[in-house]
Amino acid sequence: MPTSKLYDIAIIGAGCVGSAIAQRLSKYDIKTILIEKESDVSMGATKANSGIIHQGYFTTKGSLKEKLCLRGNELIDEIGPKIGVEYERIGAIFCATNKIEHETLEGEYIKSQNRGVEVELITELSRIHEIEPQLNDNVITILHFPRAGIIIPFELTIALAEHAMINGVELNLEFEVVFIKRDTENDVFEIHSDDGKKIKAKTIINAAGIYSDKIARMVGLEDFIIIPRRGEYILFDKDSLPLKKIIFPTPTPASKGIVISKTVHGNFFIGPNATEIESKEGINTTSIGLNEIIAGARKIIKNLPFKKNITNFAGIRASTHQHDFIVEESSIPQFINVAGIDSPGLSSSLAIAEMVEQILKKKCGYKFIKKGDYIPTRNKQILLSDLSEKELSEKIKENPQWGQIICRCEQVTEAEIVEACNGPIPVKNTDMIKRRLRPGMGRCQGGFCLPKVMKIISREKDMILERVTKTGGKSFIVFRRTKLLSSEVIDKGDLL
Amino acid sequence: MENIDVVIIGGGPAGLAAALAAHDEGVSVAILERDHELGGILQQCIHNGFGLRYFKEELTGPEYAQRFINKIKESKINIFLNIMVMQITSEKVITTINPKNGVVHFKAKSIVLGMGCRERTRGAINIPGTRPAGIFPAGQAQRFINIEGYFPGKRVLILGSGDIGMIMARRCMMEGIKVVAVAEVLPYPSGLKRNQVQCLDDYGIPLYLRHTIIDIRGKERVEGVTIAGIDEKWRPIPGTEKTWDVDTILFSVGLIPENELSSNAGCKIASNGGPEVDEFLQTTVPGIFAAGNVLQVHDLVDFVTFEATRAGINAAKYAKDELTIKKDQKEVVYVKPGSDVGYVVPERICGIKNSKEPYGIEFSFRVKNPRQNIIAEIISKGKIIFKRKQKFVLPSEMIHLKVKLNPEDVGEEITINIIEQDSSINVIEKEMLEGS
Ligand SMILES: Cc1cc2nc3c(=O)[nH]c(=O)nc-3n(C[C@H](O)[C@H](O)[C@H](O)COP(=O)(O)OP(=O)(O)OC[C@H]3O[C@@H](n4cnc5c(N)ncnc54)[C@H](O)[C@@H]3O)c2cc1C
Ligand SMILES: Cc1cc2nc3c(=O)[nH]c(=O)nc-3n(C[C@H](O)[C@H](O)[C@H](O)COP(=O)(O)OP(=O)(O)OC[C@H]3O[C@@H](n4cnc5c(N)ncnc54)[C@H](O)[C@@H]3O)c2cc1C
Repeated sequence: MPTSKLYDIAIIGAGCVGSAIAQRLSKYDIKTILIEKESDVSMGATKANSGIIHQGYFTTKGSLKEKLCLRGNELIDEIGPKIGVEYERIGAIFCATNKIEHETLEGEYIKSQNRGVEVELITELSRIHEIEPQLNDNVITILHFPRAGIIIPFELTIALAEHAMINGVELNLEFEVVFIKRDTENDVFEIHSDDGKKIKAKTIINAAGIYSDKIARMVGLEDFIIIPRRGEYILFDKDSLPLKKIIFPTPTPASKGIVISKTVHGNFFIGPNATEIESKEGINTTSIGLNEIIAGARKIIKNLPFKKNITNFAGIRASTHQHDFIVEESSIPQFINVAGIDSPGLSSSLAIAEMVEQILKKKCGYKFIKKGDYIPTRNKQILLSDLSEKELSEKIKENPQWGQIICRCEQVTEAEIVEACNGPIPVKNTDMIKRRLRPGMGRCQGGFCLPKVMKIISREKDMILERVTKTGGKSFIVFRRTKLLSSEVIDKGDLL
Repeated sequence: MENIDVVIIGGGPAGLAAALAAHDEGVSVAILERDHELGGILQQCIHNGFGLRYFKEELTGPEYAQRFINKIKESKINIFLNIMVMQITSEKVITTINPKNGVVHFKAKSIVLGMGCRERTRGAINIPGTRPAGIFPAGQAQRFINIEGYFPGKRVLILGSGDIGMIMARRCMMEGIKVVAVAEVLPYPSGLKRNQVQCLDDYGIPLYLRHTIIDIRGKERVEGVTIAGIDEKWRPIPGTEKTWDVDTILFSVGLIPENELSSNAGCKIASNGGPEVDEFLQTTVPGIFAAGNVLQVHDLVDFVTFEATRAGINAAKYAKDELTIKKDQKEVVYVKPGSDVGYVVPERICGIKNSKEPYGIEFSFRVKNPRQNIIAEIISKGKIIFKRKQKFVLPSEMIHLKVKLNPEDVGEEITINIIEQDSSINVIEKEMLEGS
């Protein structure tokens, strides 16, 4: 077997957490690799969540969740603009409809003030409805956090991973870690994939989300287990409800409740519920769950625009019995666990990365030296919506693909898709294009653009259409040509 | 900026008929079509059944379209292909993009909207389960097979007994794709009777009425599906589940008029999803007309042609300043869908109050439930002003009423009702009592 390259640090899991760590470490002169089992980054919990930048509210005093969420909320202002990620601080409100709930909010108001967070408790009805006109009339108190915000989690994660790659971090996709061997003599870990590949690293950062307990067990650690808790959502069309705020009910000890929030792109969603499930792959939605979130949303807002919903989806939280994040060097030297990262993990991701950097420095002996050629920024891809008519005309003259609209709902051109196809992360399937540019995310859900996007991928990546998948693996979309010329041979039989 | 009298948005059957009709009125006409060819959705409808009313013969979709395309090619109508209309303003300035000429603006005297519709998706009807590859709107699967030339799957379940779903069931069987069943949430098929007979019965495909999908399985590609019967509140009935291993699910669960351009232009959108129009098929923005599936979802293309012909003539007249309607709100008569009527086109009548003689109007509407031995009646000022007996009505078949109404009989509002033949008197009496 050829000797494989030795890395300093291997990060397992390219969710927002793993990618944030990779981006943080990419400043330094060390060899880092980000390992991910799926065909793209951001395919775990990071793909399907509420996308809210929380502000420490309703966390336990002194917990890591409290500390890292507050810090993460600040760090986004520092890092977001540099890597070309859009977010909006539209503010969050928690709503009380009775006296007990009012008291809960009052309590949280005081706690939040102690945390030094900008917060307002409002009981004046006219102001409540001025702040969010869509609220039901039975809302008597709101707790307003003006600096909470919204972000698209996969856009953040793609940006973090790409920025890391620009600065030399390697990304190894479709590498499912199944086995880790400790070579104590040489102080290295051997990380093995399901298909016989091997990566060697001095340090492992376990950021594998719901599978972080499985990864930990591969080196003999049994100190935590992950309990998958599913959250389901319904997403609505753009402009179907003019929301101003992220709206929560008053949380109960069990959950933050059903949220109603707009997204950066102008859609809005309701969800999530919280159901403990057996399977870590259980990202299916259920009738019971969908009804539960509809009922929840109806409690706080007036007009749910039914008929305007465009899709439903679910994500899985990686909860633990500890009820707090685990971010520490484990009892195995050089093996760092970043686990139990359920909500507010997205908000905290940049701060978790900062904390991991400290652990590497203080506990693992890394003396970080800045790279001379570090590129501090990542440019966001130019989109049709960024261009004036004149600029667009210029672009079309240079490249006619700018004049070919592929997705009518989200208005995406062929030129944009071609550019994304050839971006730093190798694009292989239609969902990757969808997460980068949104064709297929609009009201027709790909009814119009899917065949067109498939053809572009097939052309740019030089593969036959039958090989183009939705999400990688065996998620083939079409399986054979209907008619063949006598000179043609069938591609290796059936794919399905 | 290109100045043109009448600009037609969309080159489907609606756009084609509107263009020809406007052209015959002697104005300059342009068709803007985003596809590389004219014909719209008909190009993928390679089955027959088109043209029985209009041409009195049975044609396939592409044949039907070609008859109009040929005429258009002989005419002076300007055809723009591969051009996407991005925006229409109430001043009738149209912004377009195309790969050859970039951003191009058109200024029209009048516009006919003919953008057609899009398919309702699985997400819009909240079907639970996983979200793997292999879930297609039926029309998209039709496109994959008939235009792109690819099999979208091998074993299929179809949800929804709309026309596209049933036609696709037959199409799949003909290509050797096994259709395990068609499930329909309603107690009756939602497409045309002839499609049920020719596409399902003839191929032995079971149709499960009052059933819906309660689960979809599979991580990468669809692996299975479970349907169940539903009760009157549309809740699944335990014990009625049926499960199949399939790799594909097609959704034929309705079409939605595509009106983002229209509403951005300021056109008011009616409850059926199409723009609100008057008897000239003019939207609430003067000089913008609508016809075809963008206005209301049609089951027969022939009626699209009839409707679009009217829109084209009126748009040309508007461009020539010959369409004089008083825009005074007092003159407007509103049309309301009454008992068992889903919606009515047109939603308002502008010319009747100024008319000296009986005024001709064409209504089209759909009933909410299948019924027998009914009367379609028009009521205004508490009186029946028109009635017609009909043996059968079905939600899948649009009803057309061509009537002449006396201006004096009509108040501020008229209502169209569907009632049973023998109870008609009672209903009217009841309504008169409630009204007083
Ligand atoms: C319903 C819901 C709502 C939420 N709402 C919010 C919110 O509004 N705000 C907020 O701050 N947080 C929210 N969260 C929490 C947030 O989504 C998560 O904390 C965050 O996404 C976790 O990121 P991660 O990188 O740790 O995990 P993940 O995104 O799950 O990433 C782990 C990665 O590891 C990979 N992996 C796993 N096993 C292996 C292996 N063997 N080999 C290689 N790779 C492997 C996975 O494929 C995955 O990509 C929500 C979570 C859920 C589920
Ligand atoms: C699967 C199927 C089966 C059918 N079967 C039958 C049958 O057996 N018999 C029958 O009589 N009828 C049938 N019909 C009905 C009939 O074909 C339709 O009602 C008719 O095609 C609608 O015509 P349209 O012009 O309104 O829309 P479309 O045919 O959809 O045309 C709209 C056109 O507008 C273009 N367009 C849209 N937006 C823009 C834009 N922004 N810029 C530029 N161009 C744009 C589109 O590309 C398209 O070409 C069937 C329909 C379907 C879908």
